[in-house]
Amino acid sequence: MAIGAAAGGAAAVFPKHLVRAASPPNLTLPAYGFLTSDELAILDAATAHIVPTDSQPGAHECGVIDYIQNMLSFMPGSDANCDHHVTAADLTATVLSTHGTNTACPSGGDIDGSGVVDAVDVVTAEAAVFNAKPVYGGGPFSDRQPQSHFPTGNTGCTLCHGAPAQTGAPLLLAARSAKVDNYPPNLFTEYLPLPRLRALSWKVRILGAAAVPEVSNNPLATDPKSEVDLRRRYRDGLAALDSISQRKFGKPLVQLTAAQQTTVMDQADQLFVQLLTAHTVEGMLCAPEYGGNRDRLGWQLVGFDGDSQPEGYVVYDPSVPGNYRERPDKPNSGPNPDEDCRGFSKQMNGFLTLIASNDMVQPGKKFSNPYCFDVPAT
Amino acid sequence: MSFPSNTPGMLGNTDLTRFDALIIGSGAGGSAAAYALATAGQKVLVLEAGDNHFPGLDAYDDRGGIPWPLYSNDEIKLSLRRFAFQDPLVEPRTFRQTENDVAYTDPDVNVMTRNVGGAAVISSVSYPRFTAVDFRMASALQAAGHLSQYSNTGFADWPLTYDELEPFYAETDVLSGIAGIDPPAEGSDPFQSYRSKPFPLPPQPVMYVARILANGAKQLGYHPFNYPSAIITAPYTADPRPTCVSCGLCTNYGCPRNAKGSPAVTTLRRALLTGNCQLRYNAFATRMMVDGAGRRVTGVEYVDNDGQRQTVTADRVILAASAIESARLCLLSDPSGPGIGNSSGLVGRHLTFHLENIAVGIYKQRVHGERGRSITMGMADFRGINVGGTDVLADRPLGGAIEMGTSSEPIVAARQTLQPEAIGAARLAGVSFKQLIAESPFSGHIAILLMHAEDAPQATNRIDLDPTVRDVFGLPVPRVTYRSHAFELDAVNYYKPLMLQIHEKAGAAYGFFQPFDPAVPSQSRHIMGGLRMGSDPRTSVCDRWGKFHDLDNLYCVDGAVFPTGSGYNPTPTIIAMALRTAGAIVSPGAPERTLRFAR
Repeated sequence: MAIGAAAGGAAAVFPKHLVRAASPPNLTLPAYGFLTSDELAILDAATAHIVPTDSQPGAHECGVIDYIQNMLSFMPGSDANCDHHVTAADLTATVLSTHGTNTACPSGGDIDGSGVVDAVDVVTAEAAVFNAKPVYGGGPFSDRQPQSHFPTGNTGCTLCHGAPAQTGAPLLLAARSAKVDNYPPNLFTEYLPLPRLRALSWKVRILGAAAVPEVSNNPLATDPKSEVDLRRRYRDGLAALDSISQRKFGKPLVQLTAAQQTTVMDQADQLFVQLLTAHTVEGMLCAPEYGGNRDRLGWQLVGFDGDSQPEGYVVYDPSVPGNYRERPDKPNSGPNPDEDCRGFSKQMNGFLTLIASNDMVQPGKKFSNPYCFDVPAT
Repeated sequence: MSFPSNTPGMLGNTDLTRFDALIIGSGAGGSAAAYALATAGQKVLVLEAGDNHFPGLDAYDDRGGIPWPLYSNDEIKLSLRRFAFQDPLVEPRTFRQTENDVAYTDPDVNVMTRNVGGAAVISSVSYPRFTAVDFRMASALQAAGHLSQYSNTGFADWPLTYDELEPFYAETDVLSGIAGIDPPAEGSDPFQSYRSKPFPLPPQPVMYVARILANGAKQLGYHPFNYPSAIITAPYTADPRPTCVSCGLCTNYGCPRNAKGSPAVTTLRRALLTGNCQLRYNAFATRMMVDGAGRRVTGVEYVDNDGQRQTVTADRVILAASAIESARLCLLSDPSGPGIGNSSGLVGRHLTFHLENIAVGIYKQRVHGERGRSITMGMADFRGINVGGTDVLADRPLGGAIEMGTSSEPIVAARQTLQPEAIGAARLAGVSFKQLIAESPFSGHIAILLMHAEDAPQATNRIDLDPTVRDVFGLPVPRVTYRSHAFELDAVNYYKPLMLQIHEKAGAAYGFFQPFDPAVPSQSRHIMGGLRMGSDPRTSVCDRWGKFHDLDNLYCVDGAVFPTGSGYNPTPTIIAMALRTAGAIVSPGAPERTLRFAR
């Protein structure tokens, strides 16, 4: 593929300060992902063991592996011309580096951290530019919530800087010339570039402290409890899970029973299991732009609405008592209309009783007469 | 005049090359000082170590308002990957309890933000004032007999009174857009001292979880109040910004709609729009240079976003990097000596936090902490001061104000349940991890009473430079030495059962406290002291105007100058003090002449 042509075409598409997820038109790009399909299969089995599927969705349905794959596939070296933005120009700079003629940033473009800029880096540079994975999603809004569901009466303009009430299309949306209805364009997908220090930090996270001489006097950068060196830890950790399950049970992890999987996880490096568990939670409950929480299944599982802007839960309206109108279905100042006072399952009550009696949380208590304020007893 | 800036890494007037004042840090203090100086016509340069998440902060958008920020309701970005915070992988800190311990590196030693606008941008912008007695706390505690049983407390009276600062508080109210209820109306804080002007904005709509807790407190005869907050609650002609919609994810999150009156969108923006202010971000100050006599700072060196060292000069230098970093910079600037401005030997000492005392209530019903503004109600009955805030009470310990609320972040809450104690209890009770997430006792059902207990200042609690650990710039990192005094530990133990009682009356099913371990560094973001102000150069670093005793042109306008920490949130006091210091630079001896709204 002609790198130069791709770079030229993309320059018009990508605003200078943003890295977008979308591919430019008429261009087929290689998918890039750090983990292999074999590794992804082990990862899927392991995370599905941590949060299994039952009557409700688990890690598998939420797409946790996509979240983790995206995180590991972030390419900290992709700013090949060292201008702190990942744009099409970095493709060119990566190619120049392979010829040793990248004057702007001589060693720029070493995306895989191998120490040399080679053809592998050029291929991944394309993916870095056109198939970028977010470290930080953009803002302020996604397209999940509308400007307003409220019957706003005379106060329609909640997004116009306190200017007098207006009717008609919200000005924000007019300005961005986006969707015709009341939903803003999804700016979470316009991933933010990393300033120099953040890029160095993410290099430590993804490639490890050895790739960043500047952190050699920082114990955190090599602390196994820090989230650092993630590619190596995933590569080694998944291989270890596979070898334990093969050795103990003669089968891959995915084919084991839940009890057998527990045995494998208990025998694995517990720091890796903790890392995996933490990332499983993130992958289930993140904004979907990070790859996980597919169809918002994770948020539904825990009863969380997700990002609520720009609508929010109240709207200013001086014509009502207290100056604010609330959503009838999800009020700010009270329980949901269908709220109940049943409390927790028996096991959960047992768990909470244990927690409240733990020495570390003294003087913890299980109260004798709990009640629900503003919720009828059941 | 050339702004808004089209130059990467800069906001404001990029043509300026000669500066009357150079401010290090764009947080609450730095932004307020920049505002006061720039509106008085001084040319101001602000260096900010962090990134800018307010593109176009120095401009108007096509509707004549503030352009949208890059903040969002995104838990991965703000809470997990800490978009706005200092990153400990490149800028670590170390901690130890006493001089005799070896410090260790911890990912959260009072880590503050690295962003244009400072920590208040991602705070709950809870903005109560300190009270009159806070400015004479040493005398008041002595008179009430509170100090006789404790040794080595370092309380000191402030070299100014509440009355002197009050007009600057009133100015802060207007500049920040503070919402609240005026005393003596129901829902106001009876322990606050007098206010010369009413709150400029009506009170916040109270979220469900705060109503539940306030209901419990009221049954016990306490005085819950609508927490003063810098959040736009109604159209605000003094500073038109969108009204808050109670979106939820609030504390730890920058406001996606600029309804939070953070320093960025209030004082800093006003400063940038004068044309007299230039801000350089991703610019980390590494050193101050001093003249041969040691009386003047002649320049400041910083590292820019390309990793290049730059030098800038100005007639005055104003430290506003947050208490730990401001004191550190004084020490870094004199690597072979005691530190700049340190003839007293007190630079870095009397570091003071709030001892955070967190009473957790688990409720049978969902309390919906995921909606609302994090902190809408609070109470000060456990501060141990009288009505009107003019004296301490003799019959109970000095405690702190309580915030009633919660910030339900599902990932953070689920990760809490991965603590070893919780995993052990879950296995014993036969609760699966998935059940913990789905029933979400620590997310959907949690209500929190957070007390900011006032710490006794101690000379031994301090910041110095770590002998071995270095940051990404190759500089020694701040080493925090901190041990809570029995003074505040006793106070917290006194109030703990009373806090649980509030949860019980409010209907909680379970109540307990977040574990307190003195070996773990404080995560309080209320960081004060280190460059203590006072009248006597032998016992203080800065004078009553915030100028260093030892130098003619060096000032500090962050929490470092506070002699004591109060038991209320410190930010509006930092702003008021910075306005006063800047006012004194413009109008020596009569800083109130610079006030525009509160005269």
